[in-house]
Amino acid sequence: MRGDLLARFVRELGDATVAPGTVAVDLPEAPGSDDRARFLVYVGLVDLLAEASMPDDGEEAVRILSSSLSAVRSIQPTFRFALFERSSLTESRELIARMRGKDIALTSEWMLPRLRRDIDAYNARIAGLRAALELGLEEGSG
Amino acid sequence: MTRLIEILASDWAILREAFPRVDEPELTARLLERGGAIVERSIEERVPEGLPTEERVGRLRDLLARKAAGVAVHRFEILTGRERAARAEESEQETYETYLELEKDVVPPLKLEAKVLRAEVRNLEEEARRRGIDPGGIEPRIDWPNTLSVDAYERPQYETNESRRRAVVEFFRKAGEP
Repeated sequence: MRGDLLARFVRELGDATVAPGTVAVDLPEAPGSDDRARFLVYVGLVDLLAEASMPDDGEEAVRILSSSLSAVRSIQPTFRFALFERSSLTESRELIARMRGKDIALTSEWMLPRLRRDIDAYNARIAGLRAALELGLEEGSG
Repeated sequence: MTRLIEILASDWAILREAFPRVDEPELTARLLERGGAIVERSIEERVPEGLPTEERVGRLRDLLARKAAGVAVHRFEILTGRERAARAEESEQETYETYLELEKDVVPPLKLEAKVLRAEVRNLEEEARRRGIDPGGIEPRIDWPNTLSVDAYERPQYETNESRRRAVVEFFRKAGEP
């Protein structure tokens, strides 16, 4: 029944487990940012669903709309908080990963090669010094 | 100029069910027209019971459309942002493990090796001087200012939760002694 569609939409609005698949709506006009345009599309979508779900009886329509509005108001804070928390956590993780990535690159690309080059130089120097010392000993004993 | 705006497929499916005989371009045009008109109207949060029924229905529809659209946009961002969130978590974990491996297993042995070798070079140079040999004349030489100074380096100590717990207990035990 068409009258159930508004109720179904509102019920699913509170369900964060619905499939995240999307469709693209081709807008002939481009009002503002994508977020703004998406809001506009959803405003139209909800009102068209409301239109399709409205009974002839005005008081019944008021009851259905009030009940839907009340349901939406009850889930609104949860979604706001979830969105804030999710995006904050994601942004923090991205920032940490970026910073660590720079540290890793610095260590791998600069510090490690430099340390290995230094170690090679120390070993060569040690070999040279030992050879010179041994030669000095031989000359001294000769 | 047209623009593609994504919404959840499940939401679009409900709308298609409501208007099965309306083709997509027509439905999109209606969405935009309806959405634009409601957004441009000043919103009236109060819906007094004494108002005529028709006006109450009008105010409630406007309110519902705006509030539900706000939640729908939030839900869209949460659901479509899951992939990004998962990628961020994976990347954070991956860089943590790489960083830890470098700082715990790769860098310390090399720095300690360099530290020991630097000390040995200096000892041998000192030994050469004692024997009357000028170490400056022995090749190859080291360009010290261009080396990494690791003489004061100590391997970092990574504590376990258990060792930290023991340290705290020990601290308070000592603090409690007369």
